[in-house]
Amino acid sequence: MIMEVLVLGVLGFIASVGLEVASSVLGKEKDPRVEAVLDILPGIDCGVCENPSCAQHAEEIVNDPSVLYEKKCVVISDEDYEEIAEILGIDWPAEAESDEES
Amino acid sequence: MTNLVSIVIGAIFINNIVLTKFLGLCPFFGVSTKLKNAVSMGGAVTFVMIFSSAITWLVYNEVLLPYGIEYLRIVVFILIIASFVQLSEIVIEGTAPAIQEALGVYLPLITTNCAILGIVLINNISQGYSFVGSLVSGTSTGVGFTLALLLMAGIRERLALADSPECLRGLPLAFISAALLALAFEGFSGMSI
Repeated sequence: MIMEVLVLGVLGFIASVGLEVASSVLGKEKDPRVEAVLDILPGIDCGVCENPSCAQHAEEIVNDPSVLYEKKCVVISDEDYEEIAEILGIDWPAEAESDEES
Repeated sequence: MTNLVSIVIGAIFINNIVLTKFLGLCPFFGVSTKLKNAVSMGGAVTFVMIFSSAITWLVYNEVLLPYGIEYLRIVVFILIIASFVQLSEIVIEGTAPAIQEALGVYLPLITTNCAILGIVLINNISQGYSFVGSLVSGTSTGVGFTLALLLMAGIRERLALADSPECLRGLPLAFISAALLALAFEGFSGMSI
């Protein structure tokens, strides 16, 4: 009984420490902004923005903030767009401009 | 030495893990649509197979057997395999994110790929190989898996362009060609080295 618990526990501990070390050495730093943008996106992976998933759209936005002005995501509201712009630290002119266009 | 050679030939051709033992069919059909993805999938599976063959041999023979707790083998083997899958995912994510996206869910699914659990069980229990034997067997099984995946991907790339009946297009034709491939590999059976 004790031996089983010990063996599994020690093996699990070794594996988790090894993975933690590996991810800090080899892993790619994840941009926290991608996570923040992803939280605002609907997360339904509808594909209207021409990306297969919301996660990829979030990455696209963070890599090139000008994509945001195209308002590719049709699900989220204007307030959500403002919030994303705030995360990215860019201006959100929106209202006046989009009125002119329409 | 001849023993090792027979393990290699046996694992790649005579007892090919996919086409003769019918293990690991999920990635075999899921990732065999493009040659490029098939190569990276084969590489990832081979990597996991080599390292888990080595580690499971050590754990099984040095820890589980001496303490008489070999009934824990499935849990322990899965734990080791899952760690190596996670490791390979970290490495691929850091070096080639495009491959990670192409493989999609099939990359983490290597954890439950029965080919890998199958090969460590065969190495340790049904064949009882030595450490070197396990390593060679793991490596050559990975090569055999990659070979099957490459053959299938080559066929399916051609089939995608062929003028086939609509009801057979896609997966049905893939199943039929896999059956024919398996029949062809049956020609190796009965070969003794």
